[in-house]
Formats: sequence, C-alpha cells, structure tokens
Amino acid sequence: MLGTALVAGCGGESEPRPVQSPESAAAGAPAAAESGPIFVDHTASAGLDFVHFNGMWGDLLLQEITCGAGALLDYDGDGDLDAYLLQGHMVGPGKTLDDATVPPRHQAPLTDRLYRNDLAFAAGGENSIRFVDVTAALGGAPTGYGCGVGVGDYDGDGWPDVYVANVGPNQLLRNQGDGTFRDVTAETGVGDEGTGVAAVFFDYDGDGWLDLFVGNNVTFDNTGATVCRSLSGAPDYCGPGAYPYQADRLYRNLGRGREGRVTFADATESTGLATSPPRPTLGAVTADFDGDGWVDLYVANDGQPNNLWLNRHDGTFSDEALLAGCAVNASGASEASMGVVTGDFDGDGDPDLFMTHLIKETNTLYLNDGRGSFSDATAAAGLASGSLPFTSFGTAPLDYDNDGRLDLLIVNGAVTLLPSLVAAGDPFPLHQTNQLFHNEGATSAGAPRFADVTDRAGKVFELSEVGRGLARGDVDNDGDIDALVINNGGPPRLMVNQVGSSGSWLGARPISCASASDALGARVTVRRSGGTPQRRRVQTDGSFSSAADPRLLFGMGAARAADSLSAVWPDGSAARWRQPPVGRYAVLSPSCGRGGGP
Amino acid sequence: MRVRWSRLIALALPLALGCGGEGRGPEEAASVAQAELEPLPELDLAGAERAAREQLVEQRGVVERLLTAGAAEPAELAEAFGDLGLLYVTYEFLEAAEACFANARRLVPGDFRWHYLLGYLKMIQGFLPEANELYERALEIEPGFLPAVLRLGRGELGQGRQAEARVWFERALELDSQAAAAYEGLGKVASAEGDDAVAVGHFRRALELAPEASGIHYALAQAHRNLGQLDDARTHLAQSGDVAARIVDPLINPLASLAASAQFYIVQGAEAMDDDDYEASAAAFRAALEQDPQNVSAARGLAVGLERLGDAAGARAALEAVLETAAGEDRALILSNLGGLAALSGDESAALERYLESLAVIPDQPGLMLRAGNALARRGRFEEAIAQYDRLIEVTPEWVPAVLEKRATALVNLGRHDEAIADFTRAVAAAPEDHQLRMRYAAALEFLGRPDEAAAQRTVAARLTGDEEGRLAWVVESAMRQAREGDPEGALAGLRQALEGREDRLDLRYTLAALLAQSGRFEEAITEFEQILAAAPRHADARRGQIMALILTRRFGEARLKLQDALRNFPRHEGFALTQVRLLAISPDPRVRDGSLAVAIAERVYAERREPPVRQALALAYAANGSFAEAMELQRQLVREAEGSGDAAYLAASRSRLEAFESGSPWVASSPGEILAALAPGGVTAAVRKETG
Repeated sequence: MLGTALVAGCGGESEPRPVQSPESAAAGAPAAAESGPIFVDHTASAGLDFVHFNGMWGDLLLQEITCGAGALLDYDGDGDLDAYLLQGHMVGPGKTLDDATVPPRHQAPLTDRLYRNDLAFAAGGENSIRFVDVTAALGGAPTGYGCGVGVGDYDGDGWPDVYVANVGPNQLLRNQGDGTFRDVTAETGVGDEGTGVAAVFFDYDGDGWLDLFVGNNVTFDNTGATVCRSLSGAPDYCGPGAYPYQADRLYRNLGRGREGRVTFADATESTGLATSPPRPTLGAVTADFDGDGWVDLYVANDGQPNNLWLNRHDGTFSDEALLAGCAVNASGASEASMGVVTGDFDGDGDPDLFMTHLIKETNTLYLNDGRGSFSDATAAAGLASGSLPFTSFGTAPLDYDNDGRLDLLIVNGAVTLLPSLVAAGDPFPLHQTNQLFHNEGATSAGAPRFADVTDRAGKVFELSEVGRGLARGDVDNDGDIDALVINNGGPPRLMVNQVGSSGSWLGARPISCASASDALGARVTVRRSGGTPQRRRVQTDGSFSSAADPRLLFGMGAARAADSLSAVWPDGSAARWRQPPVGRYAVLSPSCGRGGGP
Repeated sequence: MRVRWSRLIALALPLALGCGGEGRGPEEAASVAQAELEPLPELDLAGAERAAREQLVEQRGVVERLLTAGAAEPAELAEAFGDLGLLYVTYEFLEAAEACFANARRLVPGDFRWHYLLGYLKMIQGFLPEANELYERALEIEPGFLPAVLRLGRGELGQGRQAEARVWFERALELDSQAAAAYEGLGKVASAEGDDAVAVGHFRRALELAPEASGIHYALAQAHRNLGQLDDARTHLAQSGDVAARIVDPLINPLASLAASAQFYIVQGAEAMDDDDYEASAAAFRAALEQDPQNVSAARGLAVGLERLGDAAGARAALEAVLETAAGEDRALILSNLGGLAALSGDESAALERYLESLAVIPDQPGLMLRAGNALARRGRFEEAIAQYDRLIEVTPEWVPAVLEKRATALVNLGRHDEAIADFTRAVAAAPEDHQLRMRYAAALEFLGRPDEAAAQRTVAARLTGDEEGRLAWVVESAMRQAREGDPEGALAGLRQALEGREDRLDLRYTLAALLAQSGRFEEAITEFEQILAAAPRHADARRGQIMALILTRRFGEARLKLQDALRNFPRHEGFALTQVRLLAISPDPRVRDGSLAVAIAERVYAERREPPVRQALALAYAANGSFAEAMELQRQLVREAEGSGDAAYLAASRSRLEAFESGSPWVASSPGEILAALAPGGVTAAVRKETG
C-alpha cells in the first residue's frame, strides 16, 4: 500500500509511525512553470479509450443527453486510482445500433467499462498513468443504461464495491477482492428500477454499515409522444417538468445476516424521506451540516426545491432546507440543480454547499454558519456572472494549487439546443467549455472570493464538449488533485494537474478499523502555524453522477510542515498526531476495539 | 452627412449579409472600419413555427432592404436593427440580438436605448461588468431612466459589490420614492453586509409597495431567521416565491407581447400558472391560441386557468374548440379534461363517458384510470370500478395504498366486507405510517360494526401523528369524527383549541367555520368566514360558505352585497353568478329583488352555457323582470327536459314554475335553500391541472 500508516493509540496524541516506505513522489517535486497550463489532457496518452454512447437517433429525447458518469476508485488495492465508466445504449422503443446518429465506438454488446491504472512511478519526475481496459473483470454484469455511480465497501470486506444507477434497474457490483466483480443486486435487495442518477454510500444510522441513497430523476418518455419546443416553436429537448418525477430511495444496510450475506432494506418510508414529494433529483451529497455529529444528506433537484435531510439521530430525517436557506436561491427561486458538492470553502470549519445549474441561472454557493443555516453567497464569492452563460453539471471542490483553499472545477454542457451551434449545422449542438475558479481567500465579509482562471487553465479547457460527470482524484499519486471529466456522447477527459505538487502537501487515507476500507464519513483536520485549519471529510459522493477519490489531500501552501493532524472516525474514535509527514499519503487507522462496524 | 451615410450603408451591406469584406480597396476598407456594422449571424429557422419564422424573416427583410436601398437615415436603420434585435431577444437568439443592438448603437450612439438594450442583453447572458458599463453610458445620455439605475444596482449586487449597489438603489429612490425594487435591493445589500435588522426594514417597505413580489418574502424570512425570529421567518416562508419586485421598463416589458409563436405564450402561461397567477396564465394561453387556434397545449392550459378562476364554462369551451381537430393522445387528454369538468359540475354520467373514451386511447394513464375508477364507483358500477383499480395497481405499484383503499370502499358497497377489510389491511401494511389512512380505515370498521378494531386503528394513528402537521390532522380528524358521532360541541371545542396560537392557519379556521355552519351556528360561521376572507380575499370556498350562511339566515341584503363582491373577485364564477341571479329573481325579501339585473347576469352566463341550471336561472330572472313570454318559453323547455329525466320532484317543481309564469306571477322562493341550488361545492380541478401541468 502506498504511503505511510498512522495508527492511533487509544485516541491520544502519538507520533507518526511509518509502517511502510513511501513510494509516492516526495514533497517539492518539480513543478510546471508558472506560466504553463494548470491541467493537461492525458486521456489518450493514458490509454483511456472509452467513448460514451448516448443512443441518440434523431429525435430529441431527454434521456440521451442526461447521462455521463464515472468513478475513480482503487478497486484492486494497489494504491492508485482506477476508472469505472458508465455506458449508454440506444434510446427509444425498437431502436437498434443501426439507427444511431453516431455509431458506438465500442463493439456491442455495450457495457460499462473498467480501466485498471498501472501507474508507473518516476523518481523525481512525472508519474506515468497507464490505463488498461479490464472490463472483462465485470463479467458482463453492467448491462443497463448507466447514469450514476456510487462507491463504498458495503459489505466491509475491505474492497470498494460499485453501485451503478441506471435508467431502469440498478446494479450492485461486489468487489470480490480478486480483481473481479459480481452482480449481487438481487441478493442484497437494492435493485431500484427508477431513473437513477445519484448513488451515495453513507452510514446514516451509525451502525458501522454503509447505507445507500439512490437519487432518481424522471420517467423519460422515449416514444416521441412528449414533444417540447423552443420559444420560436422549433423542436427542442424537454425539461424535467415534461415527465413524471420519481421518488428517491434510501436503503438501510442490515449488516451480515446468518447466512453470511449482507442485505439492505428499503428505509425510504421509515426514515421520513417519503414525506417529500417526488422531485427530479440529479445530485446528492452527505456531510454533518448542522454539526451535531450525525451525517446529513443534501439532495439537489432539477427545477424544484432542494432537500436538506437533517439526521434526527433516531433513524429518521427531516427536510429543513427551506428554513435552512438552501432549498432555493437568494431570490427564492428553485434552480435546476445538477451537480452538488460540499466543502469548507470559507475555511471556517463547516461544510458549505456548491451546486451547478442551468444556463441563465447562477451556480450557487451556500455558506454554512456551522449550525446548518445557510446563506447564498454566490454573488459575494464572484461566482454569479461567470456561470450564467453555461449549463453546468459535474463539479469538484479541489485545491488544485495546494494553497490550502478549495477551488472549483465546473463541467458544462447545455440541455437545450444552442442556436448558434444549430445555425452552424453542428450535429450535437449542446457543447460548451469547462471552467476553473481559484479560491482567492475570504473577503472582509467572510465569504470566499473566486477568480475565473479558465483562460490559463490549459488547452483542455478550450475543448467544447457536452460535459456531465466529474470525478476528482490524485490519479498519478503526485500529491495534487486531477480530474476525470465524463462527457455525454464523446470521450472522457483525464485532466492531470501540473501545478499542485509544486507546493507542499499532506495526504491522508482514514480507514475503518476492522476492514481497512476507506472510512467514509471520517473527518480530518490539519493545522499548521499561521494557517487556517483545514477540515476535510472522507467521501466519494458529490458532483454529478460520479464517485471520487476518498483520500484526503491537504495543500500546505508555503508551509513545509504541518503542526498536527487529527481525525475523528464515524464511530466517534479520535486521534491526533503531531507533525505528520508531508509529501505522502498517510493511512490513518483508529484505535481498534472501540466502536462497532464490520 | 446623407451622402456619407448612404455610402456607409452600401459598404456595410456585404458585412450585414455575412459576405465578409474580402476584395475591398483601401478607401472602402476605411469607410467600413468607420461604420463597423456587425454581420448578422445566419439562423436556422427551419423548425420554427411558421408565424415566428415569417415574423423574423420579415423584420430582417426590413433591415436588409434599408441596407440595400442605401438611402436610410442612421436613425431609421437603427430603429430597424433595434426592432429586429428585440424580436431576437424574444425568441432567445441572443447572439443575433447582440449584433443588432451593437449596430443600432454604432449608427446612433447618442440614443440611450441602444446602450441600454445592449446592456440588458449582456446582463441576461451573465456579462455583468459589460452590462453595467452600458447601463452607465445609457444614463449619461438619459440620467432619469429609472430601469437602468435599478438594473445597475442589481448588477453590482450580482458581482458582490454591495457599496456600489447601495449607491444605485439610493439614486433610484431619488428618482422614484415608491420604487419597490430599490427597497428590495437595499434589503439585499444590508443582508449581504450582515445587517439583517436593516434588511428587514427595507424588505418590509418593498413588500408594502409590491405585495405580489413573493421573492421578497423569502429574503425577509432569511433575515428574520438570521435574527433568531423563527416564527416570523416561517410566516414569510409560507408566503415566499420567486417573484422579484417588478421593474417597470418601457423598453423591456413590451418583449412579452412581441412574439408571434404560440409556443412563446404557452411558456408564459405555464410560468404564470406555476406562480398561481391564473389571470395572467389564461391571458397568455389565449394569446397562444390567437397564434395557433388548434394548439392543444394552449387550449388545455387555458382550460386549467379558467377553471381555477371559477369559469368552468369557459374551460369547457376552450377544450371543445380544439376537440374536433385533435387526434390520438391529444384528443384523449382533452376528453379526460372534459371529463374532469363534467365531474365537477356534477354530471357524473358525462364525466364517465369522457373518461372511458379517453381510456380507450391511453389505457395506461394512471391518473385517468383512477378518475375512471372513481367515476364508475360514484355511478354505482362497483364491479367495473374494482376492475379498473386492479389494473391501476398493476401499472403504478407506488399508488397501491391509495388504490387499495378505493377498492376496499367499492367492496364495502358490494357487501363484500371481508374482502374490503383484507384490502384495507393490505393498504395499511403498504403505508404503515399513514395515519390518515388508518383513520379512514377506522371509519370503515365503525361502519362495518367492528368498533374495537376501529379504536385500535385510531390509537395507532394517534401514535403516528408525531409532528405538528400530524397533530393538527389528528385534531381535525377527531373533530370530524365527533361531529359525525353527534358531538358537534366537542368537535368545535377541539378545533378552537387547535386554533389557539395558530390564528393564521386558514385551513383550520375554514374547517371550524364549515362545522359551525353544519351545526346551524350560522352567525359564528359568518364571523369565521369573514376572518378568512380578510386574510385571503380569493378564498372561494370561504366566500361560498359565508354566502350560504347569510342566505340560510335570511340576511338576503348582505348576501347580495357579498355576491357582488364575490363576482368582482371571480367574474366568471358560474356558481356565484347563478346564485346572484336566483337571489335577485326569487328572494323572499322584495327589497333585494332586481329582475333587470338578474336578467343581465343570467343572459351573460346563458350565452356561454345553454344548460338546464342556467336556463332555469334565466327563466326565473325573466319572470322577475316581467318578461313572462320569454320565461314561459324557457320553462316549457325545462319541463320537457324534466320529463325525460325521470326525476318526479324536479318535474313537479318545473311544472309549478311554468304554471306561475302562465298566470303572470314571478316565482318567489319558498325557502332559502331554493336560492342556493346553484351554489354547489366546487373547488379546484386538480386532475385537469395535474395532467396539463
């Protein structure tokens, strides 16, 4: 396993104790020149030859432009991030691949694809990413029209499993630990048949087993009977309002039963989630928003008020979004929320919310006061006007330059035909460019201020594509965050960070006690003299339809060392280390024997 | 100037037509550079509605003809570019619009409108700094143009520049001290600066000036929340929406009526409906139908809007106007809507016929299946209703509890009690936390003579009602049960107690008022209805209840005034109109009668709907006005209709009235109930709206 292991001793302070030699790039690795690009497209050179097939054939069907999803996960436990990419199929009754406007790049039958990262380490140089298509490891299981993915070790065996949310029955793929996956949907009881777009693993009841939230969108009508038009009356894609909304689903993990199998029960009703009317969900993210020590759930809906499901500590939730100030924007308007992420953007220690929206709507930043009350700080943060011309989907809070502040990468692509592209005869007139915003620090009023740095972000930001999913992660293990953009009807883009590792950084991978799997929900704080404490939470959820690297990466800015690193695990275990090692990922393990869990 | 201008236009023409500038000589190039008219981008209008396409092509043709002629004054050409630009904005061809306004501005830089419109275009595309620069330029030319000042303030706010925004909003108030948008903006400035107490003051003032601006309620709620005033916050959240204080803008507001495409107005209508502004919604759908008279979406939208306004006849007419030409699923949906309207008017037979006809085309539409099942049940065709419910359970598993409950009720009516209880049991198992379902199950058990099991269900229901809404629902359910069981006093006491501290809960107050009326305590009911109407003047059910109570207590004069007021609020409400007709025509109090006015109102309604209830009202009105010949003619028709109805009482009443008219006597009501015949309970055609929406 890459990196260093830190093991807590009875929850008290301890010295960092390396248990394995670090193989990662050392701190202070050569950086790109300041004038160089921030991100470089390594898709082709890394061997990522996936091309998303959306199934369009000439009618304008919302389903064909909605999806584009993928995950970064270390499925084989070799310390680097592999890629799982979801595939589409033909859309519409009776349609075959022969009808497709753009034939699929991959041979039929179309399935999701798994790419193993055979990362080659280069001492003092740039690590070499090499993806190898190992789709056979999936056993042909993922057969649905994929639209969302969640990653978590649901059975506590130490291997990350994959939940695929499809347009139609979803699938849970159990990582068997031998490089292969097995479809366990039926035996676990999580085969929701809605239009799944968001899948989130989180332990809402604190029993140590990961539960599963599935966000559903609308019931698409692919018969052609539902026709929508632009203001001039020309045919165009419909919005969600043209279709029936679907209810979300929450599955409670019942743990391992007598037969040795882990199963789930539908807890949508019993947890109170069914009290919300069905809304067209597109994104979901978890965090302890009200600071009570229990994980909450935020659900982003398309054109409808968003939900803030606060955990009531008794196995139920209540939606407090409206009073909390994060159901609608500062104007009281429901926005077409697509992707959503959480992060401490203003450095005050609590999880804020950022979500992406439709063209002519701003993306929206809600700042948390630490007690679960939010204020729309979009304008103050300088994020309003730059987002109005774009329809944004995937997004990631990432400190791309490792200065200690969370920046924002935003993936764009329209959902209604863009007149200028139509006039130009563009066959898929929805494409837009992506954006990168740098967090410049808090203003005197406390809100962070972002600067649009897209112009110097690199040539990959000049590409105009139909962006949907976005998964962040340190794909080359060099200590800065890279990004995998998943486009609809086109290839993904692996954006490799060129600048972050030029600064000092500290990586952390909290793991659970018994299984050594990523401890989703664990919170880590890094303190350094003269700097604001950085707080991060282990999660794979957020963005749009995608799953991210669970490891935590702390940019140290100009500091060469951290004063301390403290961690709190979901079961309440806590530990603190002084002067943790920088320039590598440390595996953080709690003092085992406390708390439950798998 | 003229010569130079003509030359400029001539040289600009190739650019404007997108032909580029290749091959021009140095002199020409210099001239073009001076003009720098931007080429208009070509647009793909192939898929656009014909009317929209023609409108856009025609206006573009105006521009091109002026350019070709080469003799136009700059101002004339700028106007043409401006008009075309506005059309492009309307249809959201924003790049083309930008080129138009940019050209207009270059042609006549001294005209503030072109700077302003270009600024507006930049603003809606998200380029706020550029927009504000253009607004400021417009203000240099036209310093008193309030919309520019307000938009500058909003633009600064959008960039997080509160201090700059405040300057503009304060300047706006200097121009117009009643500018709600300025107070709203100042409130937002204060909020952004963390001064919520000041924000509250500004927002309150803005709401005084623009009570329809529901977005201000939201901002006010947030400010109250930040001040820890949670009750105030909740009060305003309950009223909140997303409507900002309106900027009265003579340049932008006309955009709403420029379009020639039906789709443009359909979108407007749908948005207005989302805001519960049914007048605006109906107007927009009417405009859509003017552009495309057979547009089914527009007709259905108009029907929903009219029905929500209480104009069931208008809604029906809107649907029938497109029924003949509609085909397939469109026709089925119209029939379904017509069925809903028929059901609302009490014509269950017609409703069922429409539903079944519709189902033949779209057999798996859950809402329609449910309505058809319910209509079959209401017509006593329980076996068929059960078959419909069975299909529905297959199609929509998520509706199982509700459908099983309906099915169980049908089974009760068939005397198949064990099966009914089995269905109820399954429904409760499928929705174990639905306390209201359990309460209804308890009522069924009571009916079936199983009081112990009923009590057990009530106990579970009570335990489930943990939250505030649940407790209130429990109070209401309990009160209604007490009333059914002959304890109205207990019921009323429970409701009054529930209202303590919740004086703004109009739903509770309405239940109380209705129960008071049912209990014969009309005076108290009238007072409660009045309180509801003070808070919600468009509460149609409260108006109906109050008018019924006034008539039943023989306060006919007050009833007449209340009906007048009701008709001002609901000018096309058939129930109110016909009740006023009957009151004016047959009131026992001669001081209230006014045959002439009764005829005027009745003729208006009859012109739109020639059906028996309206015909009867008109006949009574004619007689009250001394027009016995007309009254007799209508009454004879009513007698013939009554003869075919098989309803002996109806036939006898019709004949009695005819005899009175034949003897030259107007009809006088023998009881207040006779006046109320047309004021049947109604409400919202939720089904229609849901389908269309």
